[in-house]
Amino acid sequence: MSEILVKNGFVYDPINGINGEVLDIAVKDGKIVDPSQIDLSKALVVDARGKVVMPGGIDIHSHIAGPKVNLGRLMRPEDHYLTNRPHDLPRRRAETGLTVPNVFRIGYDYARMGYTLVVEPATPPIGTRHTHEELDDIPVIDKAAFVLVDSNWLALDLIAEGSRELLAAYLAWLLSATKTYALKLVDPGSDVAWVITGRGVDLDEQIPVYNITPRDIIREIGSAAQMLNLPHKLHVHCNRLGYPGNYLTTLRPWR
Amino acid sequence: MQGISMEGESKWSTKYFDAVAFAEMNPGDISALRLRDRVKVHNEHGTVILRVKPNAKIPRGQVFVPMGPWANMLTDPNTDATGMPRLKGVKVFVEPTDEPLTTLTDVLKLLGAKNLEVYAGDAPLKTGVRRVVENVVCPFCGDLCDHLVLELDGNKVVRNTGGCAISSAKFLNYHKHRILKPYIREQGGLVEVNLDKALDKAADILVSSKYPLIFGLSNTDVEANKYAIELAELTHGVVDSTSVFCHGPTALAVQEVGTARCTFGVAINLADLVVFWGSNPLEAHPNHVARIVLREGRFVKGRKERMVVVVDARRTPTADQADLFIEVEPGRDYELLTALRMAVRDLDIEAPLVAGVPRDKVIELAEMMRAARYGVVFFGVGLTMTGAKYRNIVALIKLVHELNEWTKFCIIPMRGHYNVTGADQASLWTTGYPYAVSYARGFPKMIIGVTSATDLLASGDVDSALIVASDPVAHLPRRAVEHLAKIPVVVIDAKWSLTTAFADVIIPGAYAGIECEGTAYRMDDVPIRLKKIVDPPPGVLCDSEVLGRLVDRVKARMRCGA
Repeated sequence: MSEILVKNGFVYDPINGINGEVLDIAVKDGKIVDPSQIDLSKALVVDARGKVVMPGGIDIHSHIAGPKVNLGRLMRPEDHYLTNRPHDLPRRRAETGLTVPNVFRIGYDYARMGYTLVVEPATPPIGTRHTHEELDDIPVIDKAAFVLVDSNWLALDLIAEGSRELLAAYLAWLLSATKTYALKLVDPGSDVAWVITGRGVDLDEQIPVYNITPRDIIREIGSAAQMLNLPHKLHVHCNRLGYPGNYLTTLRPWR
Repeated sequence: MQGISMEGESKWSTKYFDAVAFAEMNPGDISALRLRDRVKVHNEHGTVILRVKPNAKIPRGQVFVPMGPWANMLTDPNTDATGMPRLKGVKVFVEPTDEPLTTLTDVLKLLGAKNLEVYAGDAPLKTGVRRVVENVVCPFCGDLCDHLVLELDGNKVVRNTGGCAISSAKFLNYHKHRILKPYIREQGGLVEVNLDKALDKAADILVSSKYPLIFGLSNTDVEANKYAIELAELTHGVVDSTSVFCHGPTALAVQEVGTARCTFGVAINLADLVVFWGSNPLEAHPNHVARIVLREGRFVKGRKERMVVVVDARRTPTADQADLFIEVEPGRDYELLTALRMAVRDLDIEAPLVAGVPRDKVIELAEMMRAARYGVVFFGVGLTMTGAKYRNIVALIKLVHELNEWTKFCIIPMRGHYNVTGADQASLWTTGYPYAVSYARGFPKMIIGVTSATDLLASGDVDSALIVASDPVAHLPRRAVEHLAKIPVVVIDAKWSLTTAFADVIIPGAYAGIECEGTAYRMDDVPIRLKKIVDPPPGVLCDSEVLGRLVDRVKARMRCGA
């Protein structure tokens, strides 16, 4: 169906200052058009009387796919015992899981809530093919992913030796090779510190072997993102992740 | 040897017979029983006459019979509600005999095979143009080596550099002993048909069944797995993979206590202690030691900075290369793991001997583990299949959790089939469960010991079976295989497996990783893209394409929109 007319809904469109007016919204070939351009004999007409019509929701941070999500599914069989909805084929596959739903429920539930784009915000490069496999199997919604570079040994080497352009080139290659949309830092430097010394690091602590600080990682990867003119610059979970009161750590790099 | 004979020729060959139809016994037992060249091995499940081979490494009172249909005449279908049949530690009687050796035909007839015809052919080769393909991924074991260099003459693989002996056997013989045409069974014999007719018959079988079993899937790509799961969902059947009798117990343990995992990269670059428990990579995963143990990493300068420990029920070739070998009494790993957990916490171990291991050795290993900077435990079916089964893995994971209070430790299961990990992963994101998933009620449900393949077959619960790239007749206990003789069976495979003797429909499939692209998951959960090196034989489709067409046909028959 290339023509759709959604009639009589309460329309909310903050960008255009429309705040709950009753309007008709027309879609032709994937674009919103003036309702006069719609051929009513061919169009799908939806009566949205009493309902809200709004732009699709965008969730830029929801862990919906990849190795960690699937490990969660493996570890929580009890999450699938009482949360099932049988399939209604061919329209709907079976749904299961509440805290870690299967791919079908993730897509259907987001669509039911009015979302059209959801972003998986942390995928390790080596596992990103897996992330894409799950994203591919999530129905209905659009998806994207951010690639993790917070303890990437190659990136840390380049930061430590001050090779700014090479760092930007490497990150550009990584984004392209993993088909991801933005760079993500989670507790920068702590993963590498953990595998070497068994503990994470705070914002201004030295990272063993590399002799740089998490603050250096945030600054340098942020500059590289700026150099690459990425649309979504940098997605950061600051250090001391998971410690109560860590909002203070999160505020520090802003100063 | 088993791997090479399977990949080189087929299970119908004398090589396979020579590789699996024998009983290894201690020379002392052989002379005490006055055995000459053969032995009668029997228990309540069956009887086989096997060639006897002396092997001083086998403890007295034990018989080793390799996995295969001969061993399975004796194995116990009872899975103790774990889905894992008792394939090791089975009680048997042995006695001298003059009766003829049990042949493959004898075994298949005893199991109720529907036909013994094999129309194996070689895929047509066209030589002339020589080329080299680099960075080829090996679709054999869970190591998924991705550094192979293949030299081809036309579509014949003439040289495999970087691959192990099994990998070479697979690539150099990929074209041999193939299923080249579809067949259906009519009036007791196999009749060659076109693909449409075979797919129609297969779809009819699935649609007219109340509870079909879709099984195998570890030797094909993730794309094929997704269609297989969809088929189970459409037909309200069950989908299960060979995980169920390899590392299924590992998944059950993770469900109970979580896990601590890492990738090969971490093992190579950081591990200064590598433990192989119940696994013998030098024979089953031949490149594993060179790739991980010997390799120089960023923080570990190769083997000289890396201690290797082997814990196994017998002294394997891998054990011969270890810095410390601990011989555990078969089936008693759980006790040893418990003692190790005690030693790690400095608790007193009262017994001087635990599971056949002197207390001092237990303490020595615990000390090594605590002192390691980064330890990785690679564990195999020697741990998942025996004794306490999944409880062994629960104990191992708890040990590793506790060691992480001292240092850093993780586990990697030594997965056998090249994409058994991918089968688990695809099943998890689609159904929430790793394997043994029933759609009887229109939604996924895993009830281990009930919805697992051996249990379903042994108790006669399924009324048809679709076997994809797997050979349950060579792997499952007798009582489970006998049910395949009673129900309609569809087989999709590249070579003539023993299960084709029980098939009503046989559909050829091309090899993923040789003739088809696809994704497979390495044993450390890392997905690797398999390459297409040559075209499939004429008229032969990739498994994913065969299954996709089957999904369309089943949908059309169920009137839910093709």
